[in-house]
Amino acid sequence: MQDSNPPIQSVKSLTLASLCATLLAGVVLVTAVLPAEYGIDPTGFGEMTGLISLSSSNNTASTGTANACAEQPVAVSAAQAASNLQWQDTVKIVVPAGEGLEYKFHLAKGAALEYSWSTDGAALYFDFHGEPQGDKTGYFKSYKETTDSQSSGSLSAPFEGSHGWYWENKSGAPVTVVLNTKGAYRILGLM
Amino acid sequence: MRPAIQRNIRLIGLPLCLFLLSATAFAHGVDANTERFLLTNQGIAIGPFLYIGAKHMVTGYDHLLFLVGVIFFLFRTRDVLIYVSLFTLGHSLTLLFGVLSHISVNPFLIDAIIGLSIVYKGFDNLGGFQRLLGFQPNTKWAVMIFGLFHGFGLATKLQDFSLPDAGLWKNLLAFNVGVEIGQFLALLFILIALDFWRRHRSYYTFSTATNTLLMSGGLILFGYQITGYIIHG
Repeated sequence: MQDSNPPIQSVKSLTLASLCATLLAGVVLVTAVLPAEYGIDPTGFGEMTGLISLSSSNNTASTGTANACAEQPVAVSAAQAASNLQWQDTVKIVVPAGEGLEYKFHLAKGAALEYSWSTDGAALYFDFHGEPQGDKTGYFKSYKETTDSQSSGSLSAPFEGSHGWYWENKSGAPVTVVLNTKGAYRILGLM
Repeated sequence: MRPAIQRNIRLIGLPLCLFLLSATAFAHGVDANTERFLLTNQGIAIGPFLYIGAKHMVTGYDHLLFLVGVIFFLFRTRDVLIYVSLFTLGHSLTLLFGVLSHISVNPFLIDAIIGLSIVYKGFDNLGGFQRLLGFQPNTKWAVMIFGLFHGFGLATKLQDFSLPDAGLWKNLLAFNVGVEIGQFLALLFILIALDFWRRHRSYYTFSTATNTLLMSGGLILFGYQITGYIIHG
């Protein structure tokens, strides 16, 4: 019945191995896993290393794979999507601390884009703008430019091209934007 | 027997390795895509489900750690095949049964048990049960029973995406076959790595340390999931 023949350790080394395993697991859990996954940070190590910011911006904790990429837009879970049925697309975008990024849609001339986005409370500087297709001069047209924690409305594209938001996070912590959209567009995504 | 197999493993291993490297490069993008696909998919989609199953296994460190524990002291190819087949039988049974009868266990609890299965195997590899109990619990049954739990984990995860009933069993079968393909690929790499290491004395010198680390890994997963259960469960 016995196919593997592991060397049988003495009670002493078994105890030592078990203690080491538990100790190591405890340290890793308390200093890294719990702060990063759940925002539980009894030692303050998560705060110090910035691990704790992973937990507040990302709720897909059960899979463990999606958590490493806080800067990627994450498709929102089924439950959340179901509660926003009137929207065509919902995306979560994490704007890292002190950085700016763009999220764009391709619209034909006259195509409509209905939108509503909000952050988790923090205000972001943003510029809702469009760039004509094929334009190389760097020209863009601003539709709305201010600092706020949310914005909604609709756009009828004045020209064919890429339209979307530039968000800039001037704070010291990452901010998550949840963007809901509906209309005749093609998602270009993060720029 | 072993050198011939090693040569074969290396022959197939290298192209596969390159293939996997390129696959992981896109892993981030695929993840969100996978979720979107599952949420919108209606009807039969053999290819995508094969892929999702395989990907789940290749990137599923909990299943992989358990497999490392299982084959750590299996030196004969025949034994590896028997044990891995038992594990496959176990998790296939509960995967199919779980999804078809809509049994969904709390994912945190099932993943916590999967974590414990790793701790069990690490302790077993240290000869812990033989020392403490005076006999060796049947290793084949243990692998099979823990396989059942791993299968419930797979079933629970698959049911998170409310799958359409139309063509369910075909999609499910595709997912299951994908899991086995993924397991085979992952096992190939684990075996290559272990086989290389086994030629060195350090394999045996460090076997205690390795299995202690395995236990530790299992405990980390256990703590992670149990905390999740307490907070969100």
